[in-house]
Amino acid sequence: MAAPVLRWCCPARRWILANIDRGPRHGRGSPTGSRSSGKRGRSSVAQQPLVTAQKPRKGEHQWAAVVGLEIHAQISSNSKLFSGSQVHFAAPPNSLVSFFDASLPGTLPVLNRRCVEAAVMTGLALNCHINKKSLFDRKHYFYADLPAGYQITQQRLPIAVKGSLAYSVCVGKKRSQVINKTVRIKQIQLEQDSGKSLHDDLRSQTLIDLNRAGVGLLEVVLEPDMSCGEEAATAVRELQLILQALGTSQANMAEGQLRVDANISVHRPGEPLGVRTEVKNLNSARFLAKAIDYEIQRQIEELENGGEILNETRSFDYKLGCTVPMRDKEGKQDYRFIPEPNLPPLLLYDSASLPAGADPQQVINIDQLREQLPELPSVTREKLVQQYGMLPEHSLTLLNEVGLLEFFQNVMKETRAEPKKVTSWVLNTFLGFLKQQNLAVSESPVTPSALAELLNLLDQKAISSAAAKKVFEELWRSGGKTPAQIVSEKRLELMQDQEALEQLCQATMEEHPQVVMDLKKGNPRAINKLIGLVRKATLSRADPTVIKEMLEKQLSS
Amino acid sequence: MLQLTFQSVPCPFSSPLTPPPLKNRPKSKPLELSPVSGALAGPTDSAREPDATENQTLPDSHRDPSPEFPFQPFSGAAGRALRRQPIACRDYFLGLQSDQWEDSVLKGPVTSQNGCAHVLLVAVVDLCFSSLSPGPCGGRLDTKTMLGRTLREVSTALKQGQITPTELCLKCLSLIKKTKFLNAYITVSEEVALKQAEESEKRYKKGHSLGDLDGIPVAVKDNFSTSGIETTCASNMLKGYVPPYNATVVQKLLDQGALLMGKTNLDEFAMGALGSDTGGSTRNPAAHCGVVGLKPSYGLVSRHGLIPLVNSMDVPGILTRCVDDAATVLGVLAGHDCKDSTTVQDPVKSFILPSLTDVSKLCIGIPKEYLVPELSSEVQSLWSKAAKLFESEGAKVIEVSLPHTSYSIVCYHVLCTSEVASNMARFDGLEYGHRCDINVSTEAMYAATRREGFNNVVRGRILSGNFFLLKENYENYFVKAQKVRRLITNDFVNVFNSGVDVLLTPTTLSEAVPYVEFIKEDNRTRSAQGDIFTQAVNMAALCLLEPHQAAL
Repeated sequence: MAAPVLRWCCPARRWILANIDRGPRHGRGSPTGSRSSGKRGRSSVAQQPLVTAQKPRKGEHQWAAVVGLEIHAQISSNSKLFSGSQVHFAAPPNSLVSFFDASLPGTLPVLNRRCVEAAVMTGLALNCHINKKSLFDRKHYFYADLPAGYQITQQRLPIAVKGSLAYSVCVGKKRSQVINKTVRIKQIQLEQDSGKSLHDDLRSQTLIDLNRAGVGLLEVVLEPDMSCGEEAATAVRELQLILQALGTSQANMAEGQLRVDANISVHRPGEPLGVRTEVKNLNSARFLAKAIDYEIQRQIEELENGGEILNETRSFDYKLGCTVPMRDKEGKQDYRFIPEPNLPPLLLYDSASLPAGADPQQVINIDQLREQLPELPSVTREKLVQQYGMLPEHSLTLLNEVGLLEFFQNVMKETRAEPKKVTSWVLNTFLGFLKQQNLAVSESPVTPSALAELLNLLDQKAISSAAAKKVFEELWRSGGKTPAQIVSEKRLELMQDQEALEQLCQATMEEHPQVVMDLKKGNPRAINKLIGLVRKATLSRADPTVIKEMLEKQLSS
Repeated sequence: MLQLTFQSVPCPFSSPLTPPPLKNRPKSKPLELSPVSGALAGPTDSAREPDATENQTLPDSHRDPSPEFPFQPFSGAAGRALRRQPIACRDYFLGLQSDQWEDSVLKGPVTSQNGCAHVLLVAVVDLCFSSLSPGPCGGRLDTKTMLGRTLREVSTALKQGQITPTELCLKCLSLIKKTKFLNAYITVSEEVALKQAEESEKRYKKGHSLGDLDGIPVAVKDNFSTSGIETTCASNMLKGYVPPYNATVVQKLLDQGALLMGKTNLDEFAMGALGSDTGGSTRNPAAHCGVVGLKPSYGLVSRHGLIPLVNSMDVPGILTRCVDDAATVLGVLAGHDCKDSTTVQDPVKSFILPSLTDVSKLCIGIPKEYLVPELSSEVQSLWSKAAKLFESEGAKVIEVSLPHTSYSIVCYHVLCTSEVASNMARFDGLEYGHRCDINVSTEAMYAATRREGFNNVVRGRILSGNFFLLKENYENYFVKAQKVRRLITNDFVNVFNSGVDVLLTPTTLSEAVPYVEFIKEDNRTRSAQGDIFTQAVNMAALCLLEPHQAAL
C-alpha cells in the first residue's frame, strides 16, 4: 500500500514526514501543510510503503515516523588517530597497543594527519562546510574498554558541518521507479574508537582487547530526514559507497568499520515530534532496515494502546527480529565534556588563507584535497546512464553490488556486444546466478573475459540466445573452459550452412503434412510448430527467424 | 622569595618540519593488560614503527586566540623580552650571592618534608645539608665541598679531572642516606646512578664528554615517568607502577650524561603547593629554600611523560643553585617535542647568559595588587630593597596594575579540579597501578580501587571537578573560569605591551614556616595561600624565575 510522503518545511527544522495509512486504501495525497519551502528542498513525490499496518483499523490513524542516524566509520589509516600503533583488523588481542592507547600516565595525544585529511575529504564529498578551526574535547564515562576514562572527540566545534547526502530509492511494483532523496548532514567529527570487551559469562570475566582503542573514527550525524528503514538503509549504503570511493574508510559493516545508531520517533503530522528511542550498534544494512521498521511499528502500537515511549537506548535482537531495551546505565549519563588540553585547536587552510612559506607537510590545504577527490558514485552512475543508455535503476544495482561495476566494465572492454545486452546479461543472468548461490562477485566462476567472449559469439550470431544461456551454465559449472570450446564440444553453434538448413526445412514439411495443411487452410500459428520442429532437428542451433523465412519461402513457392 | 616574570617565548610563524613522533619509542616493552576480573595479558607491542608520513603534528595550532584555549604562547614583543631575560637574571643575582643559604634551609623543613620540584640539580641536594655548603665562591674543589658548588663549577671540575663522576655520585648517595629522615626521596636509584657515573667517567677519560651535564647528579620529582624506575606520584594508586618509557625531559637529561639519583617526594599527584609548577610549585619551594626556581613558559619544555595534574598549566620546573645553571638546564630541556603537541615548534635559541651588567634600559613593573595585607614585613622590605637595587643601577621601576589578580585563585580552583577529575579518570585499576580485591562487578571494582588508591585531597578535587563539569554547572563554573583566565592573561599582555620588560613580585607571603605551623592548615587553604603570587602566571602561561633570596 503506497502512502504519500510530504516534505515538511519549517524555518528552523526540516524533516520528511511519511504518512502512514493505517486504514483501508484511500490515498491521502494532499500535504498536511507546507509552511515554507526549504532552501534546499527537493520534492519527492511518491513513496514506497513505509510501515505496513498489521491490523487495519477503522478511522483515521495517521502517523509520521522520523529517523535520524549516527554513523561511525572507521578511518582507513595505517596508524591510530593519536598514536603510532598500527590499525589492523583481526590482529592477535592487544598486539596493537601503544603506551598512549593503554592510557599510561604522562602520555600525550599526537594528531594523525591522514585522519584529518580523511575527515576533510569525507566532508567535501558530502557537501559540508569545513571548519577551518575545530576543537577536541574529552567525553567522560567509565567503561573497561575505554582506558583513559574519556574519549577524545569533537563536541563543541567539529571538523565539518552542514552537508547533504543524496540517495535514490527504487519504488513501484517492479521497483523500476527511482526517487531521488536528500538527507542533511549535521556534522562530521573526528573521534577515538574504544577497545573491545569480550564477556566470558561462564567464568564471569570480561576480557579487554585494546587493538581497536584509539583507532580514528568519523562520526557522521544525519539529521532526522528519513522516515523508514529502507530509506535509512539506502542512505547508509550510499554513504558507504562514497567512503569506499574516497578510500577514507573501508566501511565494511561485517568487520565493524561502519556502525550505525538510529534515533527513531513517531508523531501525528502537525504535532510536535514524539519521544525518540535510540537503537544502537546496527551492523548490517538489512538489520538496520528491519530494526527501524520494527521500532516504528512498536512505537505506533504502544501509543495507540495508550502507552508512552521512553527516551531509552535499545538494541536489535536479530534472532527475534525485534528491539529490546538495553540494560539501564544508571539513568542519564552526564559525559562532563571538557576541552582536551593536550591538543591545540586544529587549524586548516585553503589556498587563500595558506600562510606564505608554510611547509606543505605541516599544513592541510582544503582546496588541494578538493582537487584530489575521486569520482563519486553519483557521478559514476550518471556516466553509466549517459555513456551506455542504461536505466537509472540498473546503474544503482551495478554500484550497489560490490565489484559488479568493475566486472561490467571489464566485460565492456572485451566485447563488441551492445551495452544494453551486456547490462542485461550482467544484471539478470550473471547476478541471478550469484544470488542463487549466495556468492560475491569476486567468487564468481565466470570471468569477465569469458562472458565477453560468450557475448561476442552471440553478437556474431554464431550461437543463439538459448545456446548462449546453455554455454553460460556450462561456464559456471566447469570453469577453465572457454565459451568457444563449450560451443564446439556441445555442438551449439548456429547452422551456418544455408543449404543444409533448407533441406531440413523441406524434410520437416514433408514429414508433417497435416501441419502444412493447417497452415495452408489459414492458421498462421501453425508455422510456429514447424519452426519448433526444425529447431529441434537442428539441436537448437538455428536462428528461428531464419527458419521462419525459409519455411515461408518454401511454402509460397 | 621574590620572583621575576617575563613574557613567554616567541612563537614565530615559520615552523620546521616536525619529525614523525614515537619513532624513538622504547622497543618491545611488554605491557601487561589484564581483564577486569581474572587474569589475561596479551603481548603488547608498542614498538611498531608509525607511518612516518601520517603522524605529524599539525602546526600553527598554538596561536589560537580564542578564550577556550587561552594557553598559547605569545609572539611579537615576546621575542624581545626573551632576549632581555638574561640581562636581568644573571648579573644581579649571580653577582650578589651571599651567605644566607643556611638560614633559609633551617627555615625550610617544609621543603624537606615534601620534596621539591621537577628537576633538582646537585645544588639542590645540598639544600638538605647546608653545613656542607661553603658558599659558591672560591676554594679548591674537592669531594668534600663539591656538593655545594654550582653546576658550572662542578662541570668544570669534572672536565679538569679534579673529581670523577663516581666520586660525585657516591657523595650524593651518602648525603641522601644521611638525610633519609627528611623523606625527600621516594625512590633512590642507586644502582642506575652508579652505572651511569661509571659510563660518564669512561667518557671523561676518553675526552668525549656529552656536555655540561655529563656526570652531574640530578633528581626528578616522582611524577616524571622514568623507564624501569618506579614512578608513583606519591599515590597508592600508582604504587608499584614502573613506566616503560622516559619522560622527554628525563630522556634529555640522560642524553646529556646526567646521573639520575632518584625520584623525589611530593604530595599525592602534586596537589599541594609544593611540587610541579602547576600553580607555583617550583617557585615556592625555591623561595623557601633559597635556590633558583625556574618555571619556563608553557610550551617551552615538553610535558611528555610528566604525569599530569592540570595539563593546561603543568610545566616542568627547574631548581638550581644559580641562574646560570637554570639557563644551562633550560637549554637542554627546552624545545619542540613531537610527542607533546603543545610545545612550540620554533627552534629554541641557546640560553647562555651574556655577562652584561647594564640594566639601564630595563623597565621593571611592580604590580600593586601584589601588595596584600597578608604579606609579611620581611618579604615586603625585601621586595622594596630589590626594587631599589634595580633603580640604583639605572633601571626604570614603575608601578603597574594586574586588576584581575584577586580572581586568580578561585578561577584556578575550578579549572584545576576539572582537569584533575578528567585526568584521574584513567586510574581505574585495569591497565596499571593499584587494584582492589573486590570483583563483584566492574563498577564496584572501580569504586573500591579509587577509594583505596586516592587520598582525601585527590578525591575531593575529583568530586568538585566533576561537579563543575556537570552539564547544568558547566556554563556557570568552567566556562566562566575560562573567561576569567583570559582576563588574567590579558592583564599580563597589557602590562608587557605597555613597555614593561620584567615584573618583580614576591613569590610567597612570608618566609618559610616550621613544619608544625605548616601542618596546621588544610591543603586547600595552604594551596590558596601558597600560590597567591605564583598561580596567576600559570594561568597566563608566562615564564617565571625565582632567584634565590640570597641574592637580595
